[in-house]
Amino acid sequence: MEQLGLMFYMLLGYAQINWIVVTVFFVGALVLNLLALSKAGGFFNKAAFKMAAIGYFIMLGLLFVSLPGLTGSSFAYMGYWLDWVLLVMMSAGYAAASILWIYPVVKLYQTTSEQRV
Amino acid sequence: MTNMVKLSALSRRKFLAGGAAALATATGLTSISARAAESAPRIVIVGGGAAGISIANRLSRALKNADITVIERKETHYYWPGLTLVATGAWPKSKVLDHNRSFMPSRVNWVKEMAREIDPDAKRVTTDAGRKVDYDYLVVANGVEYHYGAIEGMDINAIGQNGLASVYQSPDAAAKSWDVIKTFSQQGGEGIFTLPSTPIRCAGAPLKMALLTLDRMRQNGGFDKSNMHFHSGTNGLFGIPFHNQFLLDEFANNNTQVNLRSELIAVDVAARQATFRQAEGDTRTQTYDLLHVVPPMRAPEVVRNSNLAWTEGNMAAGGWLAVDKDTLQHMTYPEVFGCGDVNGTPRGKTAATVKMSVPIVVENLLAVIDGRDPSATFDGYTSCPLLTRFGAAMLIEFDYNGNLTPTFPMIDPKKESWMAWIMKDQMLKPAYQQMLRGRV
Repeated sequence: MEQLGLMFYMLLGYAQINWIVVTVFFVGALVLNLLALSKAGGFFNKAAFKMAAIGYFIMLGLLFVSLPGLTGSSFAYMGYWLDWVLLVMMSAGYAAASILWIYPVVKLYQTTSEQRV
Repeated sequence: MTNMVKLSALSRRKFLAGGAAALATATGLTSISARAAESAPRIVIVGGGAAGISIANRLSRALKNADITVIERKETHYYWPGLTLVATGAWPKSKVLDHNRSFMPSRVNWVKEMAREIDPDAKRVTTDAGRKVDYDYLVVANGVEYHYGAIEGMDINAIGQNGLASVYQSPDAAAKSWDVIKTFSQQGGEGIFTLPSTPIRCAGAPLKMALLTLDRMRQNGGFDKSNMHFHSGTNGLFGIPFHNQFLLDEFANNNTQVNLRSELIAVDVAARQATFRQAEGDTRTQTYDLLHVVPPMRAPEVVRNSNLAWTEGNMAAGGWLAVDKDTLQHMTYPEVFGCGDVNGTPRGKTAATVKMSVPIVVENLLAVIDGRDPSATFDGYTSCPLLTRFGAAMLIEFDYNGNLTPTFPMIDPKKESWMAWIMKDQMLKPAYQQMLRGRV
């Protein structure tokens, strides 16, 4: 109970401190998705999903190898199982969030390509 | 039962079933009688730092009719736990500065003056502007006083010059300290770090400063050109035996000589000489290229000179606030509570201690207003994210008795981890700000 409350408020506080980044991210995602909906029609697109899934794993891999360095640390200091769990969770989480941008971009790209053909 | 009001979304039944005291303490929720909730006591909070603002937020929510006054001149809020990162070049100074008005509840009277006199018999606080503020209940939360004057020749205006550093004095001093530490980490020389024998705010900070400076020296090339010394005025480096030994080993492995019971008593800034009083009573003077000074600390003058300070025991010398270590209620004046660094309690002058003790103080103050005895007890929780190098830390949490009490059981307080670094570098400030708002 106490731990969950602390985690919640830590994340809430983190979002508040970085509110500009969070706002730009969500506004950008909203605009891209609305654009993709209007131009590409419909939300589901199997081919775009496949591409976005590939994008997710690429992003996950990139984050996995770069997050320790980006946070002022290095793989040399990750000798503890919990560090690896955290790294996987952070990479997976940020990669999942990036799908909100990647998926509409892929859809828009495909639509534009189809229109050219 | 019917005269009880709920101050939370939880029903009283659930509240009791969940272990009332523990849950109330953890969440900051509590139940008081309708009479007390509707009362309009005059509550004065001396000090608008972490403890003062956090308590003001919680009280203003719990007591809608209370007349709450916060006495604090400073409008800028310092995030003290971040100063070690400023002084070692990891954070910009701006990251530890905020506005108190962003956190101060709108409903309180904020007197932008400093308390000059507290008369607990007359229940009156007098400010340095001569304003007299009467109270029914008082919370003393005005932190510590850095006693640089106890070190002969020490000049706080010289911090950042002639190899003189001190993370404690202010964010400005921390930023200036980075200037001299950066130069030293490149050029090397004789480096000295100190730890006084008095109780101090964040006892891990002097150690973090030394360890992070060593890391900067490795990064910037000064490590092999240096002789490092750590002078501790006490019998050890850290209050937990495991970590004390870890630190002794760490310093031994990094060419740092540790001198115990060796207290800085004088400094000649121009000549770059520091003088220490040794255990046997004799003195020793060393020249330095870098001297990191940690000042002796004591309670603020307004507390030391009042009837609220300890008059006997090991807390009397510093004039620390005489509170019961369990309930944080004053030993003589039941309407007075203490919170934060000013308390004359066995351990813990950290933001983490504030985080855990604020709900206890609020709970017990509400009980006293309600005509009951205070029943919530504080276990002395404190926390030290011991930064062992850039990118790794140990998250050490412990109580009055030195028992390790990790909040997240899976985080081993005896292991260095990246996770603890992430917590310190990115997550603790958000948690701190939520604490200021009376949450967490």
